[in-house]
Amino acid sequence: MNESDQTRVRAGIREAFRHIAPEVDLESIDPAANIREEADLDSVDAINLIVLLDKKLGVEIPESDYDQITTLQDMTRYLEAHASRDPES
Amino acid sequence: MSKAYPMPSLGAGMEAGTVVEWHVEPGQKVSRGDVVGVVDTEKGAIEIEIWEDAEVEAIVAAPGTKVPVGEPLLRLRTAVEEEEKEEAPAVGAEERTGGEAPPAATAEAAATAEEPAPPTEMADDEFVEEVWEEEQEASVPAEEPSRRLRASPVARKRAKELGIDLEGLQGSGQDRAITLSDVEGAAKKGGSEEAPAAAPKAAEVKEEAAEAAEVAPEADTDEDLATEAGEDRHAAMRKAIATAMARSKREIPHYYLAHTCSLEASLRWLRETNQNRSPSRRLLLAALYLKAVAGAIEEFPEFNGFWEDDAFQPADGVHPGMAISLRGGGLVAPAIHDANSRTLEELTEAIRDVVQRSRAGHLRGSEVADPTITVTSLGDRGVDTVFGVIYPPQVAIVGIGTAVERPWAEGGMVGSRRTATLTLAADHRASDGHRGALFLDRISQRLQSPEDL
Repeated sequence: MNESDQTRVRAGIREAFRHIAPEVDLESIDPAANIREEADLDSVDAINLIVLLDKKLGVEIPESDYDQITTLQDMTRYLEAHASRDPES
Repeated sequence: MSKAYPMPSLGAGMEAGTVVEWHVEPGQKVSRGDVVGVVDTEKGAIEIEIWEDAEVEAIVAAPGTKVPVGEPLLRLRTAVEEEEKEEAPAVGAEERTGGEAPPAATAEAAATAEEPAPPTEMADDEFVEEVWEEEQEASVPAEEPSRRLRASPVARKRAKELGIDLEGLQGSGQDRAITLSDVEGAAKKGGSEEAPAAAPKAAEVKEEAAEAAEVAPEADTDEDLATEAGEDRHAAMRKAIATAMARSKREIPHYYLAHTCSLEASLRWLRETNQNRSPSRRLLLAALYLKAVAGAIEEFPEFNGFWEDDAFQPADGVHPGMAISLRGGGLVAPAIHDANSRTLEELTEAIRDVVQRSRAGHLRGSEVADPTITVTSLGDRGVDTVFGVIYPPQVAIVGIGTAVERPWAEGGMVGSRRTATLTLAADHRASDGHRGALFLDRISQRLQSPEDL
């Protein structure tokens, strides 16, 4: 993981949220809290978010990994780990 | 043949709408299903569609004009009786507007008829893309305050036309987004001191439309427009919901049924199906629900239609309206057309699309006007049981609660199952509880064999 990957992941998350939940201020969200509850995401928002993260960062999150991205902190960590292994396709 | 294209009724209780913009101009050919313009209603800005192949003859109502339901927005020339086109427009126009403008517009239509249609607006897909891009652009200077600026594309466009800086505006829309009304309100406010009011400026955008509007019977004064512009969008939607729901509870003798069903089969099948699919192709549980309901309706048509003139009028198609809560408050239930004959893939795509468009304020007139029954799933919000209120003149609403693991007795054994409680609120004038119970049971059965949906 280098710094540019980290920046790219964070920017990608921010952009995805801007599209799905524009009123949510990610900075003010508790990084350890359940992100779907914090950002009031329903199941359609959630899948749209996953699709956008895939498009932005090239990380295809399988359904079986959904439990690893339930908080903002975990989501960031997960994406950083997978984005660095599998850079821009 | 020349005919009027009237302001459509986009649901019970709608009396009028305000033209936001036109995507067509006189002389332009339009096909059935084309979006021809945008109308502002208490349900937000709605894209209105055309119902037959035709040529736009004249724009009767200019942007900014408030037009009652049923009054003409455009004049169209349809292929039938083509030979009449020299006379028919003037006659038709006279009836409606007493008009000078339509003949003028007709002349213009004739003059421009041979030219290729100017690309005044983007196609729908490009439009969605454009919204996304706009937002991306806005998000580039991520640390600056401007990144929180929200404005509808229509508002941005009009602000640009009027030379108004969005930064200085207070948004009254969803999530404090800046709406067309805010922009026009600001134009009016700022304009009262030094420049002409917003409406005349807006009229410059399409001169031929403005000409028509001057003789249109329902054209508002600047004063009215400003009042309209200042109205809080939320308040308008709240009022519309209040009217419809109060009417429902006043007029409709609801009966309520509930049925808890196992979701194991559906959830397992969904998991297996989605396992190897890329995110954009993964199916939504909501699509299974919608298809299960739509299929059951084919056997229980008395829940699909309208109570009108003291009688039940069955609907022609199965177009369940999907209740979608808007961020920041409010609710819409746009139709997913012909849900019974679409695949789960198509339904998933339709749901994702309509949810995004509902929240961005890009619903189409047909989606708002066509629902034949409502399906509401508050499952994402942890609710066990939904006691629905029917949206008149519909006669039923199916509610789906959260999928939760419950103790489940079967064959003398108690185990655990993931389950959901299905509910039906139905109009007792149109159906009886016995049929309602069978309808719910049928939905439940269909969810037990998801592979056949």
